Amino acid sequence: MLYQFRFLITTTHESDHIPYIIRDIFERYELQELHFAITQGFWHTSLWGLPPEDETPTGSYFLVLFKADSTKIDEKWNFLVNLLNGIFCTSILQMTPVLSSAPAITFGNGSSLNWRYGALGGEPVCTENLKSWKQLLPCKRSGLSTLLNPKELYGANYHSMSIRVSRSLDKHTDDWRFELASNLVKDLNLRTRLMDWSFSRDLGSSLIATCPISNSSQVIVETTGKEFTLEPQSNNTFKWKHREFTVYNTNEYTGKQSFNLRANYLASKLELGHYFPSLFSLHTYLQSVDQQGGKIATRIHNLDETPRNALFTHMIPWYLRIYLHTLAFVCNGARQEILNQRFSLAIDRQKPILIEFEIILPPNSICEITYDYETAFLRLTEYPPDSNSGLFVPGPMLKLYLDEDTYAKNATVFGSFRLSTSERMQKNVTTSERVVTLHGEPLLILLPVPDFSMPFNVICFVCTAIALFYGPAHALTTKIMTPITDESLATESGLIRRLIASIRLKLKANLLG
Amino acid sequence: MSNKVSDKTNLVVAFSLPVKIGVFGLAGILRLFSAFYLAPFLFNSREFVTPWNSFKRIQEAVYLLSVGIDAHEGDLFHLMPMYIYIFRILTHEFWLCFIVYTLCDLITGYCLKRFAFNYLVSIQGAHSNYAEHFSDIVAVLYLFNPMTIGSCSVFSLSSIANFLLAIFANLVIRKHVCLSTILLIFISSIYPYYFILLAVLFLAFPSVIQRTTVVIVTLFTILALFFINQSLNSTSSFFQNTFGFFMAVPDLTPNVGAFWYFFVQIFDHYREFFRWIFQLNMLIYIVPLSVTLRKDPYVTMLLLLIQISMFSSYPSYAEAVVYLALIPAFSHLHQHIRHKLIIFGCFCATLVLTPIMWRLWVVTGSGNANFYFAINFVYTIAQVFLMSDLMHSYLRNQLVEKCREKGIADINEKTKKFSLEFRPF
Repeated sequence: MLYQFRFLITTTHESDHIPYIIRDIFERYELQELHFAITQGFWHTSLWGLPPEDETPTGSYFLVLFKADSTKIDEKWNFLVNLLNGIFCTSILQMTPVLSSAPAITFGNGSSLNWRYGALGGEPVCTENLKSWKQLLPCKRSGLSTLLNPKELYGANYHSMSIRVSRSLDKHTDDWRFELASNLVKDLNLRTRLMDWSFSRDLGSSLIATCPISNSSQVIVETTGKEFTLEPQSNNTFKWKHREFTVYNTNEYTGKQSFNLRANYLASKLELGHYFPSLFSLHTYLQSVDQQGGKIATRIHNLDETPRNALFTHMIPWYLRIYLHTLAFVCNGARQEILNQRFSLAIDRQKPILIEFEIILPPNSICEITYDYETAFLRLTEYPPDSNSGLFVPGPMLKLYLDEDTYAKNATVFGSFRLSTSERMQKNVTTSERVVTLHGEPLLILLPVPDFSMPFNVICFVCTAIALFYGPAHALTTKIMTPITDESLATESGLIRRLIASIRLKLKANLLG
Repeated sequence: MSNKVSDKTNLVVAFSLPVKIGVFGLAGILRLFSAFYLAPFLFNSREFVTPWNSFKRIQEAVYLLSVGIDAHEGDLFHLMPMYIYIFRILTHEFWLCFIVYTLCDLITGYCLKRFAFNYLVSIQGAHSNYAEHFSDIVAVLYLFNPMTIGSCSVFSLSSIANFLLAIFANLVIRKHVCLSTILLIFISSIYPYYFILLAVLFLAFPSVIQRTTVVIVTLFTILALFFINQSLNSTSSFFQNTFGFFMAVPDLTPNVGAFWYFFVQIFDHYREFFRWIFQLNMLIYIVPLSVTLRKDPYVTMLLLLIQISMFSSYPSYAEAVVYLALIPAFSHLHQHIRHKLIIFGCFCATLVLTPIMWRLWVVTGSGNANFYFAINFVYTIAQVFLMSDLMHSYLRNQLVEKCREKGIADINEKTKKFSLEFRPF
């Protein structure tokens, strides 16, 4: 069961509805776009279809476009990560500098574009984040955001929270587009052997009041197939391609009572229902037998009948040393060409490696992209607290360019960043080619770990080895070897030796005559 | 000095020519066998492959050059840019690589044999039969040492460095001043620690003219190399990746040296301090060693090679093979080595246990890093004992000489007594 929440504010002038903190950030750091998302769980493309628009990877994802003429971008990026860490109460400080990069071709071509991209594979999502996220909305006590309850959210299979802001600043206009989106995939409660769902059961509460300052507040339910009846009923339906949707304007329903949308299924048997298996899917995994190295492999399925252009991006931290000469792109057993590649090499402790290239996916194929890696050894203090559980590597991104029909066959949810769902419904606008991003799984890599209890012991051992050499070297080079003869014994050593030595000398003198 | 060596002619057996050719042939076959069956195993083994001599990294740099990226932008490649151009042809053909490396190894064996022969005949004044016997042992020890065979089959750059080193030793003993200096600077451009062998040049060429030639040729070659590489690379970013890399020790991949685990474990406050200490540790022994061993520059060379193998930042087994092969040539030092059994036992234990401990740590996970470090430590201690014993042996021989000159009896194997003092003798 997929719930998608979208809160959208667009203004053409300065408005109080866009949170002050966002406006301040954009002003101070000269931003044009900001995307930030934290996700828990993984979107299974092969089971659930294409991800809901503005796809987010598991973990945290931070993408920023600086204005074309801004300076000291890396410093500003650093400040931004710290600022967002504070605003959302996350733990994304590890992003700089180990997992931040500047993609050249992934998010739009052009050398004047200053993109900065950071991602962390293993970011935990918690109530603190939700609270901070909800704070950015103008209506805090009313409106659809009251349906988001931490208890239901964090027990879900997949939950992502994102914020996307874009600003186009011209001489005459100052257009803002501010969107908060939350996607939630919950398992249905099948105790009663019925697939009935309702707001109160799934989300924990029902809608009491609509946000008074919103222009429109709608709940859209996909009713393709019509195996259930909705309660309360609505006659407002909408068709898009071959799918049907029912629309509720919430202010009609939240008057005297709360709005608790309920679906009652007609048959009591469990139906799988309609789902849209995706023609494209991506799976990332490790091929390695030991902690020393191996291969990172990404498998792409293209079950469509036409070849597709795709753009592959992967950011890997420096402690996995990637050998780019082992990069191989093999489809159905045959090696394919890689077009237009951009590699940004890793620098130890400063930069991750960023691999970007364009490929063409042949029709009806299973393709695999592999490259060798070798693990590096970190300093004692650089290991995370639970280092035996491994370190996360963010997954790769694959951007596909789909035409409208293929997208309609595949799309899980209706809506995109540039046009919201209601906008699309009103204007019936279509885009000729859409960009769909598939994210691979973040990888958990076990690095070989030193013994953390041994610093003093190791220091002593190594210094002992050096001293074992230094001692004799110093003695042998600064002193002269002299023989011990009877004369020297007689003059220099202790009393008894002197006695014995002098007796021997006298005996020798006597013998020699 | 001359009497003692030629006294021991009773155990001399010289190889005949077919046997010698057979030795070289067998060495080639062993390398062929190793390149086919052992190389995949050895490529993953950290005793033979270090960040600077790894063949995979050279392949990576050649690929990056073909794609148009500067290999020195990243932190993977740690050699001068001219080596990418030199190795461009080799990285694609396995057979060409194998033939080149095997030939280099065989020629190195031959050069070390010639060096040992020249040393024994000219410096030690031995009979040519005796010299032939020991130089054959030198060749056999180099060619059949498992460390050498392993390094050759993983195409490690240290094999090429050893090849240049053997030629360098030959040039020094034949008194070619300019050529040997130029070759030394080339070896240092691969692995900077070989620069301390400059002391050997100063000792071997004692006259003022020769020494000034050495200095001038050194400076000139260093500048020439720098300019060549800068023109190939268009920036001087390679300097930080090559020389700076060895000085700063950022890469803490395990190897057979003493640095890596120490710098993994050391606290951040003291990291800089100990880095300086470790690098100075290499430098401080040059002057005392050279002054003490000023009469024999080749023993100095042997001891400095042992020091490089012990205390440099990224050693591998290949750094140890040249001095291990040359020990028979210094036969006058053999009788006073005190810890023969310990050293031999430690080397054998290291060769057997290091791969096991590595796999226990990294592959199966049933051991931890201390296992590998322990056997590493044993290897370092073996070399420490060897070096201090060789120094002691040399000085002991000097003492015997002096006593014989001064006519003092009683200083011989019977008493084995001597003292180390500051007073003049």
